[in-house]
Amino acid sequence: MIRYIGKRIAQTVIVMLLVSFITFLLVSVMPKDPVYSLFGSDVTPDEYEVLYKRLGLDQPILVRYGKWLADILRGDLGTSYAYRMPVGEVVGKKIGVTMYMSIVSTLISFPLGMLFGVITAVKRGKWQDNVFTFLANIMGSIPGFVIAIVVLWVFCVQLKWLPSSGFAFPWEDFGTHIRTIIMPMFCLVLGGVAGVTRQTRSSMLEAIRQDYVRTARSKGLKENYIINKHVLRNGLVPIITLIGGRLAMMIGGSVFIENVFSIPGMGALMVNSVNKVDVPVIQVCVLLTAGCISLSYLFTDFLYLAVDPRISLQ
Amino acid sequence: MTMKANDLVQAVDIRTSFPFDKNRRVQAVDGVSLELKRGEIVGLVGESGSGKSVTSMSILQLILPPGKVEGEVYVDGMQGNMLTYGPQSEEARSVRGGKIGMIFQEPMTSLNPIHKVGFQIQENILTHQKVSEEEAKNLAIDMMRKVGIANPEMRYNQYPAEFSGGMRQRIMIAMVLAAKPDVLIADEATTALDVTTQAQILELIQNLSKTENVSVIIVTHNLGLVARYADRIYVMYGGNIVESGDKYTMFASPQHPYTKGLLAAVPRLDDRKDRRLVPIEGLPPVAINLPPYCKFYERCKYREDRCKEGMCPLSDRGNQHFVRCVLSAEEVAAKEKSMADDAGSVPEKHIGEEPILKVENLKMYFPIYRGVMKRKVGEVHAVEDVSFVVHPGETLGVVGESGCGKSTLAKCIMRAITPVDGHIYFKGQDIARMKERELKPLRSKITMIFQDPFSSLNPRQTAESIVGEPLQINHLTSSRAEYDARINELFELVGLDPSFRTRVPREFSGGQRQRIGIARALACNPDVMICDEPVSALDVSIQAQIINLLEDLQSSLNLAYVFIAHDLSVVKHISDRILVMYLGRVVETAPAERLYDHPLHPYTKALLSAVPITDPKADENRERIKLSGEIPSVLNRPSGCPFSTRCPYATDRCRKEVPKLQDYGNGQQAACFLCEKER
Repeated sequence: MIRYIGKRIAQTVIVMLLVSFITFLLVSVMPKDPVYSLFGSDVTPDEYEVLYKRLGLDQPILVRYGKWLADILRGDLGTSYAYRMPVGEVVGKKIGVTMYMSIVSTLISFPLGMLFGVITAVKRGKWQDNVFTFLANIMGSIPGFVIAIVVLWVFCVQLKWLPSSGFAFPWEDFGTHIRTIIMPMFCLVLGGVAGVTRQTRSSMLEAIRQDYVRTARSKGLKENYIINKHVLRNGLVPIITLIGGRLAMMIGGSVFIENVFSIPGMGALMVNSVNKVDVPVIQVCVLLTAGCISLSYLFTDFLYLAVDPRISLQ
Repeated sequence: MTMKANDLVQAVDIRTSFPFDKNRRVQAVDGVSLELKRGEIVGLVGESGSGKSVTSMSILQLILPPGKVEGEVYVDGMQGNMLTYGPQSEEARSVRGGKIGMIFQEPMTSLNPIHKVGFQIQENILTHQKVSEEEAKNLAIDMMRKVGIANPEMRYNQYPAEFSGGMRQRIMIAMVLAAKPDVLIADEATTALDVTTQAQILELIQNLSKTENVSVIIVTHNLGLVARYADRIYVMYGGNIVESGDKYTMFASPQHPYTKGLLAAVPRLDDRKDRRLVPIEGLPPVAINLPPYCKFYERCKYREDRCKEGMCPLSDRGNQHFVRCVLSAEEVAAKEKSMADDAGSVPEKHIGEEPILKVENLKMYFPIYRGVMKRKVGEVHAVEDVSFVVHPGETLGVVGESGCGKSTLAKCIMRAITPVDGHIYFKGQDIARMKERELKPLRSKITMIFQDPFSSLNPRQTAESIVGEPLQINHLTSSRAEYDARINELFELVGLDPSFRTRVPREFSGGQRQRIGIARALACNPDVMICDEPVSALDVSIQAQIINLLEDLQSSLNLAYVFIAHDLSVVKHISDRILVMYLGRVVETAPAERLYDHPLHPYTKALLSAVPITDPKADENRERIKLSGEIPSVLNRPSGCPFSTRCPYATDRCRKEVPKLQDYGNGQQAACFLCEKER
C-alpha cells in the first residue's frame, strides 16, 4: 500500500521532469530571437553579443535546461517577453482564475452527473431514463462555446440581466462573483454533467448485470439496498477515471469559455503568449497545466485505492 | 390448490418467456411442474438451452422484466401462489434467501469484489433472521467453519479476491445456509471447478443437507453428478420436463428417447474400450420456433406421425416414474430392435511400431519478474521432467487439473514456446530447440485443435478461408481448382456441407465450429494432432459426434493424437495410453484400461473416484478416495512429492524427496514411494 503510493508519487515526479524537458526543448526551437524579444529590435550588434551571453544562449541546451529548472525550483519563473515583467506575476492570478473555474465546475458537474446517471440506469427504459438520456446526448454534442454564445445573447443582450464580461473571486466581491460566474459556469457544467451522466449510466448498467448483483437479489435484499450497497460503488469505479481526465479537459477547454466571457484566465493568456511567442510564459503555462493534470491523475489513483480493495491487494 | 404434505416447494406449470423481437417471445420454460420434499436431493438435468436454470430462477422470481413468469409456486410456510405477490414483495423476498437459497455457476464473479466476505454472509443473516449484528457475525463465522474454511475469524475480514474458486464456492454455500433456508438450489455450482474440488463441494453439500436439514436442487448438465448425489431426477429438454423419477429406476430403465440418447452419448469410465458413442443426431433446440408438439421430435429416432398431434402429457410408468412420450416402453423397445442400429465398435486402429513423437525429460520454466527494474526473482516450474512416446495411429491422453502443466506441455510440442531443457523428437528429429527456419516445414505436420470453438475462430473470416489458410501459407495447392477441391474434401471429411464454405463462424453451431477447427488442423495432412480440451465446451449430445469424428479420422488417416482434457471419462474413452499429471510432473502413466482397473498412484485413484459414472448402483460399489485441501499454487510447490500436501498416505520421506517414475509392468509407470514399498 505505502509502496504503491510512493511508487505513484515517484512516477509523477518523473513525468513532470520529462514534460518540463520536452517543453523546454520545443520552445527553444521556436523561430523567435529571445534577445530582440526581450530588449526590443533596436539593439546594436555589440549590445546583442553581450546580451546573448548574459542570457546564457551560447551554452549547450542541457546546461540551459538545468539552469532554467533550477531557477524554477527556486521560484524564479523568468521574465515575460511581452509584458516585460516576471512570469510569476503574469501567470499567478490567471492560473488562479482558471483553476477556480475548473475545480468548481468539476465539483458541481460530477455529483449532478452521477445522480442523473444513476437515475437513468435504475429507471432504464422508463420516462426518466428517456428524458435525461435524451438531454444528456443533446447537451453532450453541442460545443461549449455555442451554448456560451446563446446564453450570452439571451441573458446579456436581450434580457440585460447579467454582465457580458469580467470576473471576481468570491472573497473579493461576492455579488460581482455570482453575476459574472453564472453564465460561464453554466456552460462548463452543462457539458460536464452530460458527459458524466452518460458515463455513469453505462457503467451502472454494466454493474447491474454482474453476477454478484444476481447473488444479492437471490438473498432477498431490497432493490434500493442492492443499488446502494452492491451496484453503486462498483459502478462508480470507472467514473473516478473520468475525474482526472475531466479536470484536464476543463483546464484546456476553458480557452473558449474564457474568450467568450472575457475572463482573464489561463486560456486567454496561453493563446496570446503563443501568438506573441512569449517563450517564458508558454513554458510556465505548459508546465503548470501538466502539473495540474498529473496531480489530478495522482488524486484519482488514490481515490481508486479507497474505493476498490482489489487494488491494494495486488 | 393446496400443497401435499411434506412438500417444501411445489412449482406448477411454470412458463417463462423473454421477448425475441417485436411480436415474438422465446418460451424458455414451457410448462414445468416439479416438487421438492423435505430432506430430498433432486437433480434437474439438461443441456444448454433446456431451461433448467431459468426454471430455478423463475421459482425464486429472479427473472427480470422484460422476462415474464407465469404459473404457480407454493412454498411451505407461505400462503398461496408466490408468483401473485410479485418479485419485489415482502413475501417473495422472504422466500428468496430465507426459505430458498441459491448458489451459482461462476464462483469468481458471484461474490461482490468490493465487500468483505464476512459482510456478504452477515447481510443474508440480518435480512432473514432477527438477530443483532454481533450474533450475525458469530453465526457467519460458525457457518464458515462448517463449510470447511480454516481460520474463519481471520478470513471473515477478507475480500473475495483472496479466496480460490473452490473456497469462494464454500463461501457462497456458507452465505446461503447461514440464513437457515429449507432449500438450497445449486445451479451448475461446481461446473467451473476442478474435478477433485467439485467432488469436495458436492460432498459438502450432501453432508450439510443432512446436518442442517436442507433439501437440495442440483441443476446441472452432468448426468454423472446427479447419478451420484441426487435422489430423484428431472430431465429437461427444450423447456419441458421429459422424464422424472427415482434415480435408480431412471438410470436402470430410461424411457424417454432423449434420456436414452443422452446416456448412450456420454462416455463412461467403466465402458469397454471399443464401445462407440451414439450421438444424438441434429442440433440442440433453439428456443424460438419450438413446435407445439414434442420438442425432441426433430432429433428422435423413434418419431412417428402421431407425435405431431400435440404436446403429450407426462404419464406415470409406475413407481413414480413419469415420461413424456407418446410411445410406450414396449413400442420403443420393439423399434429399437427392428432398427438394430447398434453403433458397433470403434473403427480398428493400426498403431505403428516407430514412434512419431518422443518427448524426453521436457522442462519448461517461466521466469517471475518483480520491481521497477524487472529483476528475476524466481521461476514457475510449469512442466518438470516429462517423458512420453506416441506412435502413429495412437492416442495419448493427458489428464490433470488446473495448474498441472498440460497446456504448457502442448505449447512446447507445438513449439509456440521453447522448452528450457529436454528433447522433443518428431520422426527422429529433435525439434525442442530447432531454429525457426528448419522448423518451418515441420510445423504443418503437428497441428492443434483448441478448446473454445467460439473464440478460436476469427469471426470475420469465412469458413473456407479459415480452413484454407494453412494450404496457402504452406503453398500446398498449385491452382485455384486444386485449392477448391481440397477445401471441399476437407469439409466432407469432417462432416460439413461444402456449400457452407462462404459462411462466417457465427452462422455455425458450436459442434460445427469445432468441425471447422478440425478441418483447419487437418488441412496440411498432419502426422500429430494436439487436441486441447476439444469437447469440453460442447453439449454432451454434440460431444459424442466430435469424439466419433476424431476416432474415424484417426483410423482412416492414421493420425497420432495427444488428447488433453480434464474429463477423465472422455480421456479414457478415446485414449490408448494415459498420462496423469500433477503440478507439472507425471505421476502415473499406463494403458487406458489398465489405469482404470489398476490405478497405482493415490492421485490417480482420487481422480478416478471423483468422477461419477452414470449408473448409481455401480457407482456406489466403487472404491472412493476423498481428497482434502486444494491444489497448491505452482509458485509454491511442495519440496518433495508434488502430491504430498494432499495425499492421505504421505510420509516424511514423501515430503522431502521427489519419487521417480518406476516401471510396474504392463506398460504402467508410477511415481510413488508407497507403490515402491508394496511391490
